[in-house]
Amino acid sequence: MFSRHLWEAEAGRTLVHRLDGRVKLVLLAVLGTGVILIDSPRTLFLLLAATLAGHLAARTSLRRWTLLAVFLLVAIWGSMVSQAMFYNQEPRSPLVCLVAPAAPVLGPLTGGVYIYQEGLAYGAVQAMRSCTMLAYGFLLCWTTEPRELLRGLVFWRLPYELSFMAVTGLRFLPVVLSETATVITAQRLRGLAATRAMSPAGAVGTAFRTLWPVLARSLRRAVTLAMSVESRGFGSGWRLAAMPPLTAGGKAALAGCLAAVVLAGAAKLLYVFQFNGWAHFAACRLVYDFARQWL
Amino acid sequence: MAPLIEIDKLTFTYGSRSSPTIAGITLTVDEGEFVLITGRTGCGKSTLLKALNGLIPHESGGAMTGRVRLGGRDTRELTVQELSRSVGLVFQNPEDQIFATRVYDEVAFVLENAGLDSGIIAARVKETLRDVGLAGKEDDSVHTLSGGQKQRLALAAVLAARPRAIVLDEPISQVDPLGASALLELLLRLNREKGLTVVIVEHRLQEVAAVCRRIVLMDAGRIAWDGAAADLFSTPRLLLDRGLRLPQPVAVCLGLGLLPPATSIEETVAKIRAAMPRLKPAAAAAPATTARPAANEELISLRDVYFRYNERSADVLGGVSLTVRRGEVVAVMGANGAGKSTLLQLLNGLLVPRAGEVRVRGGRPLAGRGQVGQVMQNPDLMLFCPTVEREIAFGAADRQIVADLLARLGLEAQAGDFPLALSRGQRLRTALAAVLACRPAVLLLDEPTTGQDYAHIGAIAGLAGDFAAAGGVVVFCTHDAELAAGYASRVLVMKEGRLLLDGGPRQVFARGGLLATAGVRPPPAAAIGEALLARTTLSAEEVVAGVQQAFVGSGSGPHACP
Repeated sequence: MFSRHLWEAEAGRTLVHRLDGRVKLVLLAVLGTGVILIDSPRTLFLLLAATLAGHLAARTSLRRWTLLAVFLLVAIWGSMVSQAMFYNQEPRSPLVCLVAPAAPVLGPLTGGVYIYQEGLAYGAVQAMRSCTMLAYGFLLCWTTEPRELLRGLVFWRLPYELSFMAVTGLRFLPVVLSETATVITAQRLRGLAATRAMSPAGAVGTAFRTLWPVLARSLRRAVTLAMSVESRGFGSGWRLAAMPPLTAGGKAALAGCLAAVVLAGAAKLLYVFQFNGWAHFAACRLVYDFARQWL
Repeated sequence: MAPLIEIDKLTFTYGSRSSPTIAGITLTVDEGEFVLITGRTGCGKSTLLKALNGLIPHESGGAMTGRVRLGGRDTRELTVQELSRSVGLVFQNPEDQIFATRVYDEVAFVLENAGLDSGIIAARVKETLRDVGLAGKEDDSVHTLSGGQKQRLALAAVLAARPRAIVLDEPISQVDPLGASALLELLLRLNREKGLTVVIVEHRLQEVAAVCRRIVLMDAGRIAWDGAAADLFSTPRLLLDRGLRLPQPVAVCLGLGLLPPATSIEETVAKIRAAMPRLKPAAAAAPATTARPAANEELISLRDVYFRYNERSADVLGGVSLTVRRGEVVAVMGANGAGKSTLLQLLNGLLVPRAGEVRVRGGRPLAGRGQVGQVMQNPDLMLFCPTVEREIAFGAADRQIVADLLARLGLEAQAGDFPLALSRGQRLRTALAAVLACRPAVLLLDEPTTGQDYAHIGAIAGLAGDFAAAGGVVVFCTHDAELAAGYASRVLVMKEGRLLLDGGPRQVFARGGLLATAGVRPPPAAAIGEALLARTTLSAEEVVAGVQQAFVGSGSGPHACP
């Protein structure tokens, strides 16, 4: 968990590694848009499965799969349990009663706490959305050089300051994690007992004690790094001439992404118009069917 | 040679400060020069470097007066991007400046920023990596490189732009002696063969002095001396008064009255032999051992200790056995990866051996129980309290010890300050005080002198020595052979997880050939002593005394009685 190698991009020769960073960023945007627009559980599942297949294609190591699995399981568990307990739409079918309305204290306060079947299903859909983005985020970071990401972001016209901040955050997150582990070790060596963190006040105190040294070191490093890249010619005068043109494969992938977004968006729009009774076109019946089932 | 860098009455004040960090500096550096800028910590050296490539005033909030010209053009009129093609800047810690995770990408970064074609970039990267000795490592992850290789990569990352000058801010402070000498040799070669102008900021004079011809000494934002290295070393007070360490060859020459002093071992030996042609080594008697007599009580014991980080990896420690008794100051030396830090972590109880036994005061070491205190290599990560006083008081045995340590380490004025906002030397002393306040039986120091100037090194070593004299044990990892020779009563040399040598400094540093296989260099005084006196000497004073004794015995030399 605290090993920086587990988090950083790793050189590789797989198709995923070789895919242009600019295309990967477009895929990120497409996926982000897709998981918001799409409601169909089976399509969301397919998107998640495709993202995980990307990890297989990138030959993600077992240690990284384990890390990814932990994150995905926590996301799924958190989403499904919270939605199952707090689902407030109708109809809803209680599966389990956690706190009966007649239970002392908590019963009258909460009106009863249940696990709802519909909430679980809704939570699963939400979980697939967040897991898809999570899995793709890991895939992007593990297979793309920070420098390539930076170039990609600038290529897509994100202001260079924002691009640099975003990529620096990604680049140094593993280092910060590693240093956090060192700080915790140092605290152990100085006799800062873990039991002190058991109380809320102790937990806050320990969190600050850990935060200060990590933050101070991060700030010092950030200043050095910023000066280093500035003095290597990176800045507002950054020239795009050095960006190699997209390969045919990259262009095809981009065209495919664009086409998929436009088509899916149009289909979804038509379906929304039809579903709300605003507009109906008989010739689009197949589109409506497709949208209802897959979007 | 035409001047490449012209600094005229430069004054710079950071936005957060009231007094200038650089005050009226005027300096000229000719094309092809190799210049060392030195001075105590905080004297403005690094700020001056930033002015050379335009980070000051373009990227630093502050007030600048005066003028810096590069190749005749005012740096105010050029952008940092334009200046990056003329002056490359390398920082102290390669870990903080390496941006990419692949060697090729790191070197290509500056070229891409210059808008070059990919074909030209590929050729330039290959050529630059060959120049810095990293040929064939284009596709390697930067994490597979050693500390010295990372620093050479950081150098390549700016050299690729083919700048006319390169400025380096303490580039060898984070690397081991072999990495440091490889980097300095590389810089010297680039300077001689390619005519690259090199400006280097460093206070490890003993390593840099031999390669530079001109030294600029700074003090409180001003230039206190600017001239030939040999001339500066002829007036040693200029350096000693500013907390800088004289290179041992220089100190030997000065001690024997040989002016101008030599800066390398070979030159020193030749100079002394020339001055005293009939010097008889046998006439000199070996001085009494300086090793601290160890008390009887055994505080640390390791018996046949094996350790590996996971089942599939190789042993990091393989069969280490040793005992350390009260009062000993033990230096642990060896190349990076030899197992020094692992040994410390076994002693402080953070790691448990795979086989064998580690005992501290007769029991298994338990982390955080106060029996073992450790100061880490980066003290910043140990400081977590809002004030220096509270930092030292955290876990302190009593209040009195806090006041004593504040006074002893010169931190009284900073008692109410936020520890992480102090200077590097002050932060290290605060961390040391915080550990000592818990009154451990064993004090572990991991590279305690990295990035410290000599004055701070002396303070730290003095405190550690007093701790041992009071009945404790000090174990410190270091690459600094002069420190080990001067302050340790015992030196352990590790190689590939095993103890290669274990003994007093004189005994260990006499094994030059074996030390070289472990990546350890004895102090220059040892080599000079071997060459002139046929015995191992540990300090410049000892060499001088030995040579004078031998000289009197031989009745020769420039001052010999007729």
